[in-house]
Amino acid sequence: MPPEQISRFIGEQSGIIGILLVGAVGALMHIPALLSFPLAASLLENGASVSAVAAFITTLTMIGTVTLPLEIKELGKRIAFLRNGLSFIIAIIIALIMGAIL
Amino acid sequence: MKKEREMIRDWVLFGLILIILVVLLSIFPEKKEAVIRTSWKFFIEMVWIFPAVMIILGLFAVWIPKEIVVKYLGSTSGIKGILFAIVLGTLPTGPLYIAFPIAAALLKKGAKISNIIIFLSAWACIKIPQEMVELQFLGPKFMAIRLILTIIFVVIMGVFIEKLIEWSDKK
Repeated sequence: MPPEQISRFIGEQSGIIGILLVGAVGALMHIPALLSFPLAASLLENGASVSAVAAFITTLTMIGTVTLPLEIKELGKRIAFLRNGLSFIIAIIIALIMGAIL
Repeated sequence: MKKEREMIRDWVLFGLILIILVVLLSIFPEKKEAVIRTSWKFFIEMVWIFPAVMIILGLFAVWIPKEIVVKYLGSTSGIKGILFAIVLGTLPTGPLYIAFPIAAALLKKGAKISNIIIFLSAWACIKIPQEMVELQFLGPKFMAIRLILTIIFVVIMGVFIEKLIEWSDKK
């Protein structure tokens, strides 16, 4: 992916939409967290904002769309939906705070 | 009867996914190898991990008395319970989905919902090797701030979810 495109979609000027977008991608993807860090670093190098990268890592590790059926089976619908839904919200909050600090 | 219905539902879901897979593969035939390789990898991972988790859960059910879970993670465990939940989630390695049955077993033995949410979240994103890699790729500042914020918000989320569930149970 060319850097211009990355920074257009998830760079500083893409604002909250970019953060929500990349957070949703992180929530849907099912890859080991350890692989997400080099990916996140290369996104940063290519113009992604700190908030977007923080949102991506946080939703990727905390939210499991692929494993949601299993979570529902073990812990019930309420806990599973609340945990995943609220995790998304706190991931966005964490991302915004990090963007403001760094 | 309920079990039977659930089983039928699971098989229908499985069949649906297979149909979607076949349709997608016939549209993108060049992806076939990657799909099979990834699916096989996850399958092997499950085959290796699940029996071990089942054995540990079985031992847990028999050997760990309810009082211990209640004492360390139950409704009166307070701050200590939160810390214990974080440590309990941080130490083991493995994908998040093996934490679900463990969390369910802890809930059954009397752990608080907030501590269970904290345990799951800690398992998901507060891991020492994971933090080391984050440090290496994204720097100490990024890693430390994200870690601190994550711990704070995960605890808030745990308490919030517990209150929500208690409130909806009362209604």
